[in-house]
Amino acid sequence: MQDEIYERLERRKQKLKEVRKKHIIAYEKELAEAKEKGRSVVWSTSLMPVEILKTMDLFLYYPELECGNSSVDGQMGYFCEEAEKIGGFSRDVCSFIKGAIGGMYKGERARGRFLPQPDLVIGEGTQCDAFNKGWEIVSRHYEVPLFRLDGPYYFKDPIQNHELEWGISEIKRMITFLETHTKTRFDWDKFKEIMKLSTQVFDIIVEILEYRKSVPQPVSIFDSMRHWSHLVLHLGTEASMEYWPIVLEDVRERVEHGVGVVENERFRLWYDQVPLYHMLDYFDYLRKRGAAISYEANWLGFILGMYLNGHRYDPEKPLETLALKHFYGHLNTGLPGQIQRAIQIVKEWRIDGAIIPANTTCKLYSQSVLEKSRILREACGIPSLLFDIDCFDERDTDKNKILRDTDQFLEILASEKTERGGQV
Amino acid sequence: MTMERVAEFSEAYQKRHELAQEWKDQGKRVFGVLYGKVPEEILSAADIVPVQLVEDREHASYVSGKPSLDRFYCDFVVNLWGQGLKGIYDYLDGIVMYDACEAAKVLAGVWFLRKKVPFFYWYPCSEETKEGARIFHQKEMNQFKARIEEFAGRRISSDDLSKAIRTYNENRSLMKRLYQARREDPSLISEREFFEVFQAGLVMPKEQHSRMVYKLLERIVSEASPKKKPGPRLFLSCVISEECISSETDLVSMVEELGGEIVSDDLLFGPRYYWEPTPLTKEPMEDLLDRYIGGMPMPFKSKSEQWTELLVEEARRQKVQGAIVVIPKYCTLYLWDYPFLQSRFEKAGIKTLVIEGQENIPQARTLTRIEAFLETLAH
Repeated sequence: MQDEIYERLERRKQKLKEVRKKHIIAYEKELAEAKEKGRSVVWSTSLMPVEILKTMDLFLYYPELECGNSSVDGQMGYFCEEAEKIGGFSRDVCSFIKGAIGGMYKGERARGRFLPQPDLVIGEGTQCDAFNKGWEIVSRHYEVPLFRLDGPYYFKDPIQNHELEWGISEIKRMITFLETHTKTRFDWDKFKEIMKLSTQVFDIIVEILEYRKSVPQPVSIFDSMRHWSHLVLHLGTEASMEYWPIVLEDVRERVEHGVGVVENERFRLWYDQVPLYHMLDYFDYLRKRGAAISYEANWLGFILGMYLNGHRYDPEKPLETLALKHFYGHLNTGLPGQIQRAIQIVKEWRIDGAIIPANTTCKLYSQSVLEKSRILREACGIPSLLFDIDCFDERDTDKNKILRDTDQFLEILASEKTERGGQV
Repeated sequence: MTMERVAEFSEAYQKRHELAQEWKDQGKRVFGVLYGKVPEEILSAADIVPVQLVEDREHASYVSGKPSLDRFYCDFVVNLWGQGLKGIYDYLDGIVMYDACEAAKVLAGVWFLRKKVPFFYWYPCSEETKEGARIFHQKEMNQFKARIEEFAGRRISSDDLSKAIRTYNENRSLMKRLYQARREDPSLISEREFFEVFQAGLVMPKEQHSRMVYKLLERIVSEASPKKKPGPRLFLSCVISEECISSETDLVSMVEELGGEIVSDDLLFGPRYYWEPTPLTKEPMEDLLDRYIGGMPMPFKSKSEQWTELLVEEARRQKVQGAIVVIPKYCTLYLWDYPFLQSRFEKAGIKTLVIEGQENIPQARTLTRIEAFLETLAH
């Protein structure tokens, strides 16, 4: 029986891998042929209401995914250095955007892939300073029009009517901009269909998220990162509906049969940062010591922030949905709002401890890690592991120190869990 | 350099906390404000004294602020938070913080969580002037006014607002006169003196400040200033003025003593704060909206082209030969924009010297760099 389950899980894993590969190949092919086929290429970010861009049949290129890939390959230092040399940018600015700019200057992309030139740059300026400025630099370099989405910031209070109205008006302004520059009318019927697809995916992700409250943890951070990348590329497309039901089936079966991703799960962790892309073996290090990441901040960044604030995708109110998604994005959330979320996550996902790296060139993901740690200790009684690291740029990383601190943190976790009567 | 003419301003700035306590003893309420795009007129109309939160440049404040703010936040934010933790601003009845940059967002977050201020308001902003943004700002400003009325326990009438607007406009008009006088003849008042004047205006009621500025204007016009040999004309770009004067190094005095003439600047609390009057053409709240939405580009939310264009044009108008750019360490926006700003200045034939602002700007090294820079401008 047990063997059958494992075999089925393994087959599904292979199937997901094949589907993902097929979608990546299709994406790259489309990217390479986009201009030839008369499609405009847009550089944008997953933090945007991408369903609008997809409705306009624009081909989207996400530098953020490339930064992730470059960092995994240990190439971000190279790209950042190029941006520092050619563009004169400081070592202290966001490596994520700087790496993308370095690639732009060199005309290179991670893994030697084709780097498309944009016809438009569609960015946003509310979430962080680097995004605010980075898109401008790209648009100046390629001499193409730039649209920068503005909107309200979620400091601590739930969204108010006038904030929602402004958010919606900004999305409408974006539609007008796109219509003007592509000389194409916005197809509202197509938009509604895309929003229906996004809603289905959103609902699946929410279901998976709820399953992640289970012990043992059914989703690993590695799976999570793969799913996240897929979602960035394919949200609002048929491809997403080929992929996500398989993921859901997998997670559901794991929960039903109690098959976790960490053998002998000892601790459940909340990971409050983007992944350490150039040090992914860190998560393996945790896994081998029985620590399961049970929630990662990545998901809050561009789709699930709204869920924790009581909202879901609603295809009947598409503009309102996208405005809410943008408003509750994790980077668009102030420290009080982020801490409120962290407390909710720790309580509902039964978290034993938090890992909160201070991402040294990203002020908004980090937002006073010490305050977060202090409040999580006070409100939930859990310890946190804090360390400084640039999550993208591999230069200057003191890996051994991080591992030493992690060992100590896991010892603290074990002793506190034992004191509370838990088993480790 | 004698500072006798502006001693009154220096004293008001140095004693800002004692003065605030005196206003409180007189029954006034005092609010701390972060950045100049909060409509202070609304506070003033409710009989609340708004004071800008300023860096005290004390080492102890940086030491207090650092532990809870991570190492990659600018000194401005670290210092303010250090002062907050030390209780220096505990006398404030309220705080209004403005969505200026990511560091300001984080400062607002920790302040809100750690300090129990009787009134706390997060003031959102946009540089967009499109219809949607305007409607949002109108509603936000109305909400801000309503919250202030509720806190103050009194209604703010149109007359109250108009009076406050006129008071602020008068102050802006006097400051602009002072600015222009200096541009026309830098020997009338030094930039270092000017710093004392505008800094005092940030932390005291505008009526009092206007009286002092008026007196100073009369004095500098009537007194014959000793003419000195004109030095290289300079532009000073620095968002946070406190960054120019550290405990170890007074950058502005250093430049002037070495013979440079700072004839224009883009200090956040220079032209942006003091120049643009509120038009008195509609209802006061509408007038305030007209003033506070859009306006002079800032490195925060404006597009880089707009901001750099403003600086380069101004530098050209003032026939500037060189620009000194002081960038607070870890000021992300400035760091992103600087390469573009430098290229625009250079394209306009204006050389630049960049100095990284930090708690202590090293004196000897900075002196050498400025000397060398002035030397290159002379040839």
